[in-house]
Amino acid sequence: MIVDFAQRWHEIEPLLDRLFDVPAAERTDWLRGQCEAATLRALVTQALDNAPDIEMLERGVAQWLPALADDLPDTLPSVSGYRVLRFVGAGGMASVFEAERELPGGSQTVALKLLRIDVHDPDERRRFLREQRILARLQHPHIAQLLDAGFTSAGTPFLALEFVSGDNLIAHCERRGLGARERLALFIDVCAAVEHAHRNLIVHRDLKPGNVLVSADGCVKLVDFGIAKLLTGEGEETRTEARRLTRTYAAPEQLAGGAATTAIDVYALGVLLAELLGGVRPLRADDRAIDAAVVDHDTVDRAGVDTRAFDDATLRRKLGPDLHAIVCQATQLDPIRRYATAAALRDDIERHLEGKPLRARADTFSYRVLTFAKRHALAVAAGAASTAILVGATTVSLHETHLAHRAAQNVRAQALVAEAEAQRADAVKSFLEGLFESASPGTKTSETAEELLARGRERADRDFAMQPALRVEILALVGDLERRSGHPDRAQQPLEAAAALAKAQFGATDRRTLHVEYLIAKEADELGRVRDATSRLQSAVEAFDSGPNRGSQEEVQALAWLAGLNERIGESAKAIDVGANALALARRVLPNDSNALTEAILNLGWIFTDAGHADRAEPLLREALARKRSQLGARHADVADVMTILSWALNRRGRYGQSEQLMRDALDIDASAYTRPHPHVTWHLNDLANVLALEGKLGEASAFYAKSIALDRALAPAAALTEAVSLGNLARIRFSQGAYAEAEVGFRDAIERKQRLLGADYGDNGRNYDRACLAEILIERGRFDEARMLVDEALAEARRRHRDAHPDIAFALTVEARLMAALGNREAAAVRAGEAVATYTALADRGSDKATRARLLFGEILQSLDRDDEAKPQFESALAAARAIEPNAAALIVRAATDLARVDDSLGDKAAAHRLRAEAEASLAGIPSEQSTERDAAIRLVADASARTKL
Amino acid sequence: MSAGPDITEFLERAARGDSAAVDALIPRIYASLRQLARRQRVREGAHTLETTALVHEAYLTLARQNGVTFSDRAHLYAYMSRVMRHILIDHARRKNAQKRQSSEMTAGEARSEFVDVLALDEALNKLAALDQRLGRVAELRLFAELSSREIAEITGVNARTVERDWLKARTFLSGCLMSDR
Repeated sequence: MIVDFAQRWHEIEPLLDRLFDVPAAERTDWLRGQCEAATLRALVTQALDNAPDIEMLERGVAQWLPALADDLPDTLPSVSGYRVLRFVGAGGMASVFEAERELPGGSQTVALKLLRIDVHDPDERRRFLREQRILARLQHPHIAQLLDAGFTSAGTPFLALEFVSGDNLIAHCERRGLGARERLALFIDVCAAVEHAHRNLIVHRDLKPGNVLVSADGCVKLVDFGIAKLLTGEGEETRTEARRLTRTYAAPEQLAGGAATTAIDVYALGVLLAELLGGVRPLRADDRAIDAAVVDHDTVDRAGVDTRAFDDATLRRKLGPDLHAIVCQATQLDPIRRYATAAALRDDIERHLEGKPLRARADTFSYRVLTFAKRHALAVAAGAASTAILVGATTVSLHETHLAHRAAQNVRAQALVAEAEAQRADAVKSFLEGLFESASPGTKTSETAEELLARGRERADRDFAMQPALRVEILALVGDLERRSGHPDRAQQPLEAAAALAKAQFGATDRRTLHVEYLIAKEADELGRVRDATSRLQSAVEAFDSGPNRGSQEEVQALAWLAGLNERIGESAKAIDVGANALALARRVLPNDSNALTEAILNLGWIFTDAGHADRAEPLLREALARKRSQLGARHADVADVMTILSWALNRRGRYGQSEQLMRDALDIDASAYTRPHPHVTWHLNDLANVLALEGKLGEASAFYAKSIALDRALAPAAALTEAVSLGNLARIRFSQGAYAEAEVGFRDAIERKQRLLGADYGDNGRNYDRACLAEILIERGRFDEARMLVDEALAEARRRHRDAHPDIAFALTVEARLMAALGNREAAAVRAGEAVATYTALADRGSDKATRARLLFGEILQSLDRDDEAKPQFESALAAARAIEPNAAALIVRAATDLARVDDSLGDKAAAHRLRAEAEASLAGIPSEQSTERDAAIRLVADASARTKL
Repeated sequence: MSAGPDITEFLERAARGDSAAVDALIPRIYASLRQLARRQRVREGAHTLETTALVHEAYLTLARQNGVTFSDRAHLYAYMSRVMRHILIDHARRKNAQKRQSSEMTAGEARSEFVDVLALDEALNKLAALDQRLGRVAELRLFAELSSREIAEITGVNARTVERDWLKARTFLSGCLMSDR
């Protein structure tokens, strides 16, 4: 039944008055709660934000004028070289005519577009023609080819495009009644075309149904590629462009006058997809603005409410979960959170069609922070770190690269032409560098820097088209700056372009080619594609090594990075080998004050620590710290990051006091280096808590974990992963305090969160360690079957990941031994514990907390089997390690001393046993007086021991 | 094309809300618009119709020819929006009469991307009958492309209220257009 809207206006209006105070996304729900009359509710709902007419009403008079003008007596324009046949249509930017041009082979039908601007300024004309030449190179089966361009005698710019006769995408699908799969097949072609253009550094900027045509034979053709850009000059306000855009499809940053990046096309593709499949259109930007005005903007941002372009419920209902997730990911209001490329979007659609799990995650957050945190995750998980942190923060300074290049140029005395080219490069680079250095990440300035980077990229393509060497350098620089300013996703496109160009121009044995490959590996690493990055960089290094240019700074950097990647994928021996080579090479060929040398040192130090050789790591990390301090100043944020890695190595060596002091100093540096909540600070808080936990200061550790979690929440959703890590650590504290049930709940929550956040990448990021930890908790809770399953999986996974001896394997073995002992299978327990100890021995690990406990466990199991002779050296070694820990590891000493005293007793050495009991008793006072199972056990052990003495 | 000497009087009567005066103005302004559009087209060889510019230019021509002065520039735009609305209605009626048989292909916009002017006019009339201010705001926004601030000047309320009025009017129009389908 059609109800007259006007008749019920008296009821509708008061409802609207209140409704407009409700954020757009919540309006449907609000109405459900506030308006009981179903018809009335239906009336209001359908007329609201997504109603088809809203967009048209917003366009106002402009929509009718072309038709009005069309009625005026026609004067077809005259364009030299063309015969204009008829008027075809008009859009916001141009009028389109069908025309013919004469070619040697006969006549060709073209779509002649006359743009709605006048270009009289000679510079502007040149710019137009230059842009047009770039566009003309764009050739793809799904892109209408640009054939020609010029100016009419009146100065109106025109473009001649391949003529496509057909409907727009939506109309085509409607008219033929195509099903979802057929629509998606067409959409995949659209993505492919956009992808191709992006690879050629061309952004469409105005994707919408009207620009996606489908010819009668069903072939998709995108028209008007990059034409929106032709309409704005460099000096002209981007606002002008925004005014001419079709608002529905324009990304928010585009309407706000932001830089035109590939992300705006990804957004438009997402909107197109929603319309194509469900006829759904996004909420209007002005509605969102009103919402934001109603709700305090910060709150909106923090809570992540206002991050979606669509009314979520409608979208989900019409598209189903998969496609809903895809559209959401593509149309995130924050460009960083969108699919990094059109290819990634297409890939997910293909996965959907093949029934595979999507890459789009329902809980989308900054991929960058995710991967950064991912890499840090294990470094902060107490003692089990097996991932690089902060290697990304130790890049060679651009300034130095620049000096090195210049020096290299002098030495090689390149031809004058190249020299001049390089000087220009230097000029542009200094410009970009200045830009980057002056803008600290996350500030208002860096937004401007991002825009300028986008512009820099355009200029690389346009201004340096004929200077390949320069273009490679600029593209690589722009890509690297994008990565460093926190957009590894945006880095890919310029870097890939640079790589292809470098390979073609200079060959694989050139240092410039290798350098670009190195940058690509860093970017892929940050995006979590570790294995791809490793094999690609490996081949690049091999190719380079076959040439004559060995021994350059570029090689040092590439090798050092390759080493780190090998460690990340579990190839520790290879990592150490490659890393040591890189460092040797660096010490040989690089000047002593080189940052690349520092990077190589730090890198090897990190690898040693991760691989379980903290003793070898420590001197390297100390050297790296000293170098960083002298290069950057003692209070630079990067210095705090190096301190974190050193603190981690010190923990493994039992130097808790120094480690704690380092982390306190690092946090002190943070306090002055960061002006706002920053992910590094949460990591550092976590690292401090880790040391405190090792020292048995459980209460203080809990407090710092809690601080870290509070900060993670302030950074939400970006810090979701570090939050999960901290929650897990907090659960481990509960475990140490004997609150096993609480520990289990907390740790399961942490695992669940990590699983959700990391997906398939969890395997590469400490899943085996987490499973072993959970098993440890479950053993205490007496749930042996579950524990067994978990620890078996953990061990299998750790072994699969690490070809060589590794702390993760040793830890899983220790937990398994404990399980066997709990089950009463002491023989099997002894075997497992023996293997664990052997693994630590192979790693030359004598001092770490875990190694010491493994030795104690092994000894205790042996003793229970009456193998006192074998138990004794384990206890001795553990006691020596416990004594070496500073500050005094009282609880550990009590346990080791009483263990050893028992053995000495039964072996008949009463004097030694007596001395040891006295030591244990004296140590008791050194245990922090707070609730912990370890303290309880120590008190019990000493009591037992004194009872034994009295016997 | 020369406007008669009585145009000032018509404008003044229109300013007092005399609808007959508005109707009398239409042919003159329309003629002026057409002439401008045609000239522009010949000059640039394309349909360069920048709405606001067009409306403004048409006014300037009229005002120059007739010596019209307005204390409040914004009021004139209000009339122009009324005129524009009538022009479009006329045009749509004629179009409907001629009804082309074939749907023409447009590379720019699809046909479905246009609001039916006649249905919109009807809805606007209903709206104005229910709430004069909302009708006014909608007309100014739709046909003269005035900003909220400019509309606020004319209607004498603040810009924030205009924004809210427009959202309401837009919902009303959208609701009416939908039930027309």
